Amino acid sequence: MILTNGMYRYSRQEPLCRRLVKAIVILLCAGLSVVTTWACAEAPKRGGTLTIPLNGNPRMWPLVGGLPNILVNKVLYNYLLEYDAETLAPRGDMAERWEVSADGLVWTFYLRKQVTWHDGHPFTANDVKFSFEVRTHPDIPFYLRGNLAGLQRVEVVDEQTVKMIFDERKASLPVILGYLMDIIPEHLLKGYAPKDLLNPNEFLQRPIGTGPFKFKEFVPNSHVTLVPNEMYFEGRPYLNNMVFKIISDLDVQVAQLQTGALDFVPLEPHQLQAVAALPHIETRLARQVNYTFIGLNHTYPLFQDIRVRQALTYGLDRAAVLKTVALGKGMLSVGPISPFLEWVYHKGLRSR
Amino acid sequence: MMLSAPGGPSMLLDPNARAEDIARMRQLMGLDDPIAIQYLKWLQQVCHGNLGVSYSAGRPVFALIRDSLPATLVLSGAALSLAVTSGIALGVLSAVKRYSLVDHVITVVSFFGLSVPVFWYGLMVIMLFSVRLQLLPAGGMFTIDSTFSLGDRLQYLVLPVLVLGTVNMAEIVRYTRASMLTVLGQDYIKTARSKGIGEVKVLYQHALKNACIPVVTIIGLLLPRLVGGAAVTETVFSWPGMGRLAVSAAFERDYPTIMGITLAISAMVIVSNLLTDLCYVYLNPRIRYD
Repeated sequence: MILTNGMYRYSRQEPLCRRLVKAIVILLCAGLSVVTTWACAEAPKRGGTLTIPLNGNPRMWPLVGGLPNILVNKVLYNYLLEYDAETLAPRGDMAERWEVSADGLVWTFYLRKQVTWHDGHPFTANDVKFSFEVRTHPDIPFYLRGNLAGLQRVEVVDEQTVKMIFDERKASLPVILGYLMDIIPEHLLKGYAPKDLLNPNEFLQRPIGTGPFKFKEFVPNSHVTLVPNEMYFEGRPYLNNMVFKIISDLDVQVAQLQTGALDFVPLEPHQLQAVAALPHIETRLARQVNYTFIGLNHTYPLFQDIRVRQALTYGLDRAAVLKTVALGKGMLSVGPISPFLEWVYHKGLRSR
Repeated sequence: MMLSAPGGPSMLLDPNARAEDIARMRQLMGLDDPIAIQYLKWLQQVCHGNLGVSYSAGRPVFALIRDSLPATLVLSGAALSLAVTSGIALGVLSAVKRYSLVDHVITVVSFFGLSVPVFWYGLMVIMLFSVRLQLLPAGGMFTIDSTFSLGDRLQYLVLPVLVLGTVNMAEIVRYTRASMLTVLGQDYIKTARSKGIGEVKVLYQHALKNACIPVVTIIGLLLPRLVGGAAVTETVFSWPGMGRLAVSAAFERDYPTIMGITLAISAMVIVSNLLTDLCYVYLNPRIRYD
């Protein structure tokens, strides 16, 4: 999420400082401790193409998963809420603000005004209602439907106000709404039968969102080209083009970075050495909230004994794994919540 | 075999998905049927000219193959041309200069081609020609967002053709050399030489034509391998062809796409076998098909 939010913010709000940074590398590993800032000595300039890799073909359809799909969707569509890039706390995206009723069951979202879809059609509360009704429709096996458990109905109050009514309190809703809950256009999709909404072929020939970039071209196994959304509600992005090159092999991605064919590549720690000495490539550490773990199957009787699980955990030299596998780029975790999530992380937690 | 491999279609593997939603999706995709029923349903579709819809791309498999086949034909056609021309030439040279330095060099080069892993060779070629010398692009098929230009296409073609061509050339070199040595020892070659026919004519008109029969067999076997099996080269060079489509379909357990590609490659095996048999008739007039 950090990576994608980072790219997203970079592309729409920050200039491409080609003279200073020909290529920017984000080092991906669990829980890096260095904060990345996109500081740039020069004033923002318009223009340029940002070329970044995808490891597979994107569907450009929010109702199905997959990392390549999610990355492209990040700039094609918007959510109701998004995460602040520094604190990771939820903040408004398509919703300017929101409030929750005293009993915690009714959430009201006040939407941005004057927002249009890429085809010029106005964005309204009906799109929000449609987006969530599709996701909870009994005939559509949306893969993240569990995240919306308890949602009773979505009510349109007026064109810019929408209510989500739950049958139970849902404190995590703002976080959930910022995670892969893209708003999709009702006016283009309402004609599809529910079973066809997992793959609306005609719509996907030219996907329409509200995001900072518009679809231009998709050549399977080659690339996706996006162009700026001139009508974007936060202003036209600085970039002239955004190209996602489909390169499945990580070593080839690094080679293309070295030749300048790519501007940005997320790296694994072991790949750092290949680019560390190159003067035209700048490496930066990025904060990530993901973690690596060994899952024990609790249905297996042996693992139902807490002493076995503890023995296996204590017997593993996690510090050595961090040092040798992640080359020290990370930190030992005390639980699934990353310390970077300052607003929910309990600082008093200590590993035994 | 595919269904017995661990995992399933990638879209069903999201850890956040609920079991009932996964079951629903499996039902929609027909994956909850017994394997025999799934196969019969697929066969029925194929008989109606329908190869099904890709799980991962959401597009008809026929359209995916149709879109990726031209890129593969360009790459494999160019690589085959390089492999055949240089392979036969070097094989003849190696046979004629038997046990000389030239023969040893060609032998070493051809054994390198036979034994080198293509992904490593491809990466080394990229490191040399793209990263170090900065002569050629590291991957892709054309410059994105540029108008069509033959020069642009050719510069992207050079490295993958070099890799695919030289790797396949090695086999042709070895077979040509062995076959030429057998033919050159036969009496009719001695007769030709004793009649005063020039060495070039003896080699290329009398010997090579006969020596080519096993070589043509090898080329016939290479043809479907080149079209369907250029997967590694296409992956390393980000070449948007059918081999790469097959690799991504296999990783994503995209069963309809894998079945469609298998069917297409099977058709190519049949076509290349037919072409090989027809070539025999040209090369050896004693072979006749009634």
